[in-house]
Amino acid sequence: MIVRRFSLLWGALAGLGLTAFAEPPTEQAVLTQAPQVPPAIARRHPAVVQVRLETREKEGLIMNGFEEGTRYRFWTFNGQVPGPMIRVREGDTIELTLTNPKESTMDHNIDLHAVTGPGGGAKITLAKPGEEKVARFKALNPGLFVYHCAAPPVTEHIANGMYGMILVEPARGMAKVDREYYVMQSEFYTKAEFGAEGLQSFDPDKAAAERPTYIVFNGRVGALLGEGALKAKTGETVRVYFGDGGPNLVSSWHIIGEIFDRLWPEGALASPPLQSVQTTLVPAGGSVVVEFKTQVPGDYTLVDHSIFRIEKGALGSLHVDGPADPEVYQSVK
Amino acid sequence: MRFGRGWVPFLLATTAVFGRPADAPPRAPRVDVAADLGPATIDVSSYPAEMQNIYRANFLKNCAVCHSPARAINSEFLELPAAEASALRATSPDLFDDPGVLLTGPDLWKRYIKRMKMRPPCCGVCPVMSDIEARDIWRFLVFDGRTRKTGPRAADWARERRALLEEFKKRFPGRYHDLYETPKEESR
Repeated sequence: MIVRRFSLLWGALAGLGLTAFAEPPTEQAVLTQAPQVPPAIARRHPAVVQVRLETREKEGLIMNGFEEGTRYRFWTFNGQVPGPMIRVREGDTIELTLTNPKESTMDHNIDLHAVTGPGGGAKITLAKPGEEKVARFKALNPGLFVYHCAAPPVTEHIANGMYGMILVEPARGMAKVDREYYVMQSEFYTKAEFGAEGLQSFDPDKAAAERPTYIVFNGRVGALLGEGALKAKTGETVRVYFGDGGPNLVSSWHIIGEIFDRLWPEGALASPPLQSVQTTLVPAGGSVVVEFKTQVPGDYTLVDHSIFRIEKGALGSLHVDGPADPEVYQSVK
Repeated sequence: MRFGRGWVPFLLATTAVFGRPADAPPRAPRVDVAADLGPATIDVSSYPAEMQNIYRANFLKNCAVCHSPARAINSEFLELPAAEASALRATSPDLFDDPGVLLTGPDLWKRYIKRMKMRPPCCGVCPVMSDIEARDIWRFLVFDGRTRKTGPRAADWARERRALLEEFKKRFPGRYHDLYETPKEESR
């Protein structure tokens, strides 16, 4: 409540041009686990947004198994692959605290593509096990940006799961939509082949050859299938913040049966959107923002249209409920 | 008993008349691998009821969407845990002479079925298998492999498989070379 009052006061001062020497209000970032997205930013003035990230090396499931799951020792931000989504506003100051627990086996840091400055913050956030680093960054450019660990060797830190996305909303804000989702594609390289069960180990040779064992949405095979499917109702506008953590592959991202009504290539929200796009190229370490209206109920499949990748796990689903619209889609014979 | 060259068409014909359950899908004409030339159904009457049920309601239904069930029924895959495979290799080394006839591995079917499960349901035809259905198909294929490819029926299996390879080589010599003279696991 106190923060809100201060924020209102700061907003009023900003209106009078009296904020040049004042510290903007401080607030805690709401961090979400994919596919959830932090709430839209309602304020129209800058703030200091505090973001707390902890690096964790932890074992998790990469795929369900028949006898036991396929497990992998992920390196993560906040225990999640992809890491949490961060949402700030253009002009905000991000105060990022990065904690590397003493149980960690290596150094970690963060390179945010939203940051202007050497290493995107990597150098000033490099934390040894047991260390905590705090850094401030000004969000100068709006857009949807990837972040990742860049501690040496950066290749393995990304390959093992250390990436996520930060949305810098344009200062003018973003149009209201009915639903927002956070989806990130990435690859994993394991010694054993696709579907082998038990704990898997990283294969640097496959990674160097860019021959992934798994290509997944949101960190594991099937994360967006079944109970994990994205959901919407007919008539709604859906916005997806889609990123590609790599470490190697470019995604030909597509939703079967949908057309992206508006699309911001490379996540460049300062630019006007493209319209009516079928498939979009998303580079490793890049992103895209798409919006589409759902007119027809049913199941829509998210794929990387480099289509054999579905057999490595690049498959997700959007389930749309609601009345049919025969004018848009119907069987005649 | 030694099978002559003409046994494959004969077997296909008899299977078509006697061996195919009423609800079995029609044989796919596509021949990509030697296994596709063999029968598309098997007699499971001696199998446990659960395996019979998986075979009819799940295996035939789901696996026939993209290829004939013959591909799995006549496959060289024999999934055995490593220890069991070693024991079998010690007692029946001749079974392992030719990986085109019998290829063993601890998770051959497991990996194959997981890959086949990853199909987009866009046209409503591709099977949208649950984890349980996929696991049951795997259980069936492991059980069926042990039953027909090892033990008392092993010699029959090897003979029938060799006959399929011969037939495939005769009809598709180039593909035979690619597939069976330059062995690649899981490509058949």
